[in-house]
Amino acid sequence: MKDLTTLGINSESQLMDVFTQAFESGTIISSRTSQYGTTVMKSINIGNKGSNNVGFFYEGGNMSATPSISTIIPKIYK
Amino acid sequence: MNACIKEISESEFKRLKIPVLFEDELTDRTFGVLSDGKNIFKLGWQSEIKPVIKWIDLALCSIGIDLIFIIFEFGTGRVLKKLSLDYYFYDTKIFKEAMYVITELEIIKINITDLAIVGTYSLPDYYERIEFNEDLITIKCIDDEIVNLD
Repeated sequence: MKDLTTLGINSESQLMDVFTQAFESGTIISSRTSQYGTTVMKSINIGNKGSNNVGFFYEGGNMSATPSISTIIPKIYK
Repeated sequence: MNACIKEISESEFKRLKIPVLFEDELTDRTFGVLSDGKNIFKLGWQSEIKPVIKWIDLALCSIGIDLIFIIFEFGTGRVLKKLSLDYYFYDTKIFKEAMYVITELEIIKINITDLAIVGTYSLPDYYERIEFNEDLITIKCIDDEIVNLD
């Protein structure tokens, strides 16, 4: 949470904005499929402060369904 | 087989001329030295939590933190295995000649004899705990999801 705050993400709505931006314009950095579904990891820059990697999970591998967020990995640049 | 990590400042980290186990100059905000009283190494990572140290035998040691996991020779500092994890590192367990690298949504099984990855197990939800029984390994995730490994 502290890392997100450092990146200027202080509210749920700002976090949702990050998810939306990552989903719509994030760079795909990996895609992995398991017996549970497919996770597409996308990265979005947060200004020059850092970046967020966001995992979008498609249950059962149904890529036309609305994904859920499986993980968020903030990276803060010095 | 006793080693500990002592946190140091970034300036001290830069000043020390000792082997580096891992670092990321772009994002590291926490710095430390790992020593057994005889050998000493430095390392850097992003989060504020401490790395998890696990000895495999008298010579080999592992460290996991954030999105990195390594196995190295403590006597030389030579890194024998380095994993860039997809999910945050949680813990390391050893059971029956295998090491289990536990992350929030995945468990990686490493043969401790040759350090080969022999299995990668996705979890249906976030890891909560692992239980080792004679013939079965049970992983409990949040929301009571259970995964059994042979």
